[in-house]
Amino acid sequence: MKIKKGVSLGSLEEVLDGEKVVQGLGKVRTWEIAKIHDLPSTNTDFLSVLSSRISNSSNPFTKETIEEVLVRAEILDEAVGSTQVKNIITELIGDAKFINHEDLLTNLNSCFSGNGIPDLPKLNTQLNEFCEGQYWITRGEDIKISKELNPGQQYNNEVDGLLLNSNGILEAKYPHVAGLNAINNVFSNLESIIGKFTTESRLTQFWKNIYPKRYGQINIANGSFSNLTEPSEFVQAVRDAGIIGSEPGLSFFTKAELQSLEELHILVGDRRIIITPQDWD
Amino acid sequence: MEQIKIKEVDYGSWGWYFDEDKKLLLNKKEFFKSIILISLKYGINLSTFGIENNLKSAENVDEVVDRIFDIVADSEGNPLLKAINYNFYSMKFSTRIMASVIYSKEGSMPVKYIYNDFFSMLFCTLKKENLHSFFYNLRSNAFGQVDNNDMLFYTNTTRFNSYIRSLHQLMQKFDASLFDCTFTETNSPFGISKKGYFLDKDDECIFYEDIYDLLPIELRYTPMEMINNPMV
Repeated sequence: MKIKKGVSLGSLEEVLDGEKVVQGLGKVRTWEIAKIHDLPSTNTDFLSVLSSRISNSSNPFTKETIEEVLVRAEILDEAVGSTQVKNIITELIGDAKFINHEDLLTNLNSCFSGNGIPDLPKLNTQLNEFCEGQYWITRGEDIKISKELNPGQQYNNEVDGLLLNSNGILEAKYPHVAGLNAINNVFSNLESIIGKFTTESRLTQFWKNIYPKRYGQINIANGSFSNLTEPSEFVQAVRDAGIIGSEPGLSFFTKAELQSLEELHILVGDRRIIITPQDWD
Repeated sequence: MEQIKIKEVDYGSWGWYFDEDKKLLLNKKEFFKSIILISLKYGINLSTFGIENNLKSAENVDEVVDRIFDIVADSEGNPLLKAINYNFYSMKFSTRIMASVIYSKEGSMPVKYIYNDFFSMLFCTLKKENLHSFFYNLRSNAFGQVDNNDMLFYTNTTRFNSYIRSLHQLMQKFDASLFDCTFTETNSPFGISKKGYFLDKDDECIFYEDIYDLLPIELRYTPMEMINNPMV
């Protein structure tokens, strides 16, 4: 190996250790990528995580993929007049507890309609899944966000969150239909969470056996339930609508189905109300 | 059958609201039968119970209505609400299915198929024990997809418009006092009217009856001709 004068490569032991030299070069490359894309290039923690993604042997986060992800994030940001998408992507790729960087490009692609125009409902739905993933990271989870467990297959088993430490699956919803229909829109999304865990074509038993715990989240973005503060208030609203029953098929929900969720998180404004199985008693 | 890529997103909601439900409960079988007939006539939100029990035409609708009301009779709660839930509940898939006829293309050939929508919902709610709302939440883009093919767009959206129009007539007959439709533009490239109808590129609302005779035979949903509109 040729060593140029004036270039510090660390201690003699490191210089003689080819692997460490490669690691050093990898860090320089990571720094360059971060610098080019206006990522936090002076943040050593960020660089360390990004570097490990780039050098990930099974799912390398290549320079080209990073560029494609960030270009899409910027297009989406431009469509909504914010920097929200790039910010959250940056935070996720700098956090070691976010596991599946390999799906970022696919997930951002899904935020465009067929003719390449940003699709705002799809974008908001995707952002909700990213944000909810970040919440679970603060609870100590390693998480895969918006993950197809069987990509390309008839039943692709897409999950909004895979909670790797709790062995749980998260289904997140973003009801945004406002006006007179807003409350029913929330009920409809609650049913869709239940349906995720009860419909074989949406999630096969194989994965439910591996990740048996069920979590739901509804980020209410349609103006309904704006005064909600307690779990009991939400439970009462569902009861009052006459949609909880005891028999599958006859009622919209059964109490058992609702109680199968370890936690149902309702997000209203800046509040997070967590409903647990006993709240439905 | 062509698979439609689905992102689980709310595309639109149609909600009819009632101040009081006396007329509904007095005539619950008539109301429920009309729901099934309107679905059959336009091929939208077909009875899952009917499909799984071989209901193919309007001739045995009365039998299906009676069977469903018999099934729900022994349990507690509002019978009409339960009947509507049961109508869309699939014993085969253990979930609700909104099954609709969709016309699409396979290569250059038009194809007709039943699209099993596991994401959309149709249900009723109560308020102070009275039936309060009839609500349809569309969570797929099956009807409004354009695919650069005007004929298919018209084939699907005009049937949908006629379906919604018949529901308007039904709800009016049963004294619904309020209606609201909220729609996401991206599913309807040309917009939506206040009454919840797909608009076309000329901002016009077209119904299936307006274009049926102009469609090629392979794109005609023939039950539309055979079933009289139960609400007219």
